[in-house]
Amino acid sequence: MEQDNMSTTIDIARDFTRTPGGRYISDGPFSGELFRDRLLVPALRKARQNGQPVVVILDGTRGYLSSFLEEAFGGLVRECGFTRQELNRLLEVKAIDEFYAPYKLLAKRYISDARERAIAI
Amino acid sequence: MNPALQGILLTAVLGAAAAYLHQLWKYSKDAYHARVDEACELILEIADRGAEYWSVGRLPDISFTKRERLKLAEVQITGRIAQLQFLRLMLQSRFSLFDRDRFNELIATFQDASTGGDFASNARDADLQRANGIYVAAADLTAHVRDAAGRGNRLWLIIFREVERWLPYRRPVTRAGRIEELLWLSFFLGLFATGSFLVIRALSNWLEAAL
Repeated sequence: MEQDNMSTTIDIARDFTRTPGGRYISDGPFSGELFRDRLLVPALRKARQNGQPVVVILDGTRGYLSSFLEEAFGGLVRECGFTRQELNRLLEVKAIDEFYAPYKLLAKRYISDARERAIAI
Repeated sequence: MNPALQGILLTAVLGAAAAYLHQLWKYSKDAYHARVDEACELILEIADRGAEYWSVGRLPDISFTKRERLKLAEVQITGRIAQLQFLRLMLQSRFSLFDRDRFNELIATFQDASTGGDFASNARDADLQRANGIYVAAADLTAHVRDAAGRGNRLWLIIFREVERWLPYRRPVTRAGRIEELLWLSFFLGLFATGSFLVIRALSNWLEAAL
């Protein structure tokens, strides 16, 4: 993870893995859940305090399963209490190489489609 | 040299050059359409494997053989999708920007249908709705690929793109950049139209005075 005065950058290939896995930790190594809980959520919580956005770079991996992306990005809204408006402000997903453009679209789509988990009283 | 012979030779050389260029263009067009066919076959193959995969659940009491077969299907589906991504990069070079955006959207939808949900999970139920959804996404995608390829694979467009490639200007890829480009273009076209109008008016005034 790289931090400067303006933003925090998470390069998935460099900071997490070049071979992302499935959805849950129980499904195998380098899952979306692990990425979200280990890297994304702590960076976003820090971003909430200091207002500096988090940039996630998708390039450099062998590709992503949609289940990984859904759990990592949609899970922020569904499981971790972030709102879509907040993520629009604090999170930027980048795909520099054209190869990763559909993955970027998916990550954004999962954030906008995710619903906050209903709280039962 | 005899001028008549010179004329015949020149015509022959020009004719040969035109035939050669036409043949090159035809090869390029056929090769491109072969890639389009390959992509469409690949999409339908992924859809078949995906539908097969999602129509079988992975429950704790599943047999070892079935479990191994599902694992193999996961590897095959992800491998084929990676292959499709590379084909996408080859094909989209002749798509318009609008078609390219739509292509990316449809690829994302197809990928979501194939490898979304609980794909690669250790325990999941069969999902027939998803199996159906894969075919819908595949049909949308193949239709768009053929449609966009037919629109983009034209000689004048390819020449235009080749010329554009040599210019020191790169077209913006972001939406904001494209809007900015459009505004500048409208501004310059407006200036050009106004200038042309003024020149024509001045010329007609001058002609009227002269006559």
